[in-house]
Amino acid sequence: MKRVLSLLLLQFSFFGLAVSAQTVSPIIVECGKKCRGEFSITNNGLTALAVSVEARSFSLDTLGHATNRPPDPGVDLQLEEGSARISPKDTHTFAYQLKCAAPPCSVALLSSMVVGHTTEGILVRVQLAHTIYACEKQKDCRKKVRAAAGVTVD
Amino acid sequence: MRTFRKVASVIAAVTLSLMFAAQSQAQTTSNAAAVSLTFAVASSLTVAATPSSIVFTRTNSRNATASAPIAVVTSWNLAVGGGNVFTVAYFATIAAALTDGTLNIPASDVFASINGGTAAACTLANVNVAAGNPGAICPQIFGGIGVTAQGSHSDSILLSLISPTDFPVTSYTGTITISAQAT
Repeated sequence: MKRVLSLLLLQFSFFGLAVSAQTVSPIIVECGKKCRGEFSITNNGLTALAVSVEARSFSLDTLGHATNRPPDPGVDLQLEEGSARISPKDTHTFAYQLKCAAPPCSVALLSSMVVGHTTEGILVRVQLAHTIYACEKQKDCRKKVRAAAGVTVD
Repeated sequence: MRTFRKVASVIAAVTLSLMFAAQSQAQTTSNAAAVSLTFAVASSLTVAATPSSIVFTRTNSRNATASAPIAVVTSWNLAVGGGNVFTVAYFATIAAALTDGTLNIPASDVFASINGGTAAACTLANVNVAAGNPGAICPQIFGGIGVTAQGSHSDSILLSLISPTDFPVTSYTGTITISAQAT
């Protein structure tokens, strides 16, 4: 019995110490009113991850900080998958299609993932953003959005 | 004698032609084979958070400290320099940062100290970064404005609980989200 408890304690200890490290790529894309795109989430850890993806519209302040909100009415974002399970050291690609009725549209696709579980205390969840700038024309879309927001950096 | 000269001339001509033939063979070169190389590196953003869960130890009936700080490393590889990278922590629910399903510890009772700084409640309405739940956002972990194309930043966030009333006896659980975004 003591041995089983020791093993359980050891297991929970390792879950607690597990590094929750994930990567999103690419970080930022530009596109026209209608665009198809994809991004990848890499699980750099040694434990399988459950990933869920959600969309947010966002605005920028003059320093380039983003304020996220639920998707605007003119944003039609179709995700091929809203969630996935990623094996250790593996990469999963999420494909999407975005239609922006009233460009420009600034959209963040937020991928959230947790490692392990806890019965007491706080679990650490990592969230990474894939940022999309959609304009009438793809070229210099991000630059135009940032200029319109008064961003002076960059 | 004439015949001998004719034969000698023919032999000389044949010999010369053979010599030229040999020379032309020596000048033959192969075609140049071109091998094209491509290497595409996409931009990327990585966040590592350790440990993946923490527990709180009660110091008295109204205070508790986290078992360890959360080490957060934000790494990026942007297409160009000058962009912005932000990392923030928040709770999904203002009223119940931790809960046992019935009893709640609100986000206003959760304090975060970033890199050893003064602890502040996770009640910020808007720190303008990444995804956030207004009213349950902790002080900003990292704000990189005009960053270089490639970089990494290490931070720590130490949580503590401070309640105006005694914590009811039960086991609480919750989730803190470490969110990163580049704009």
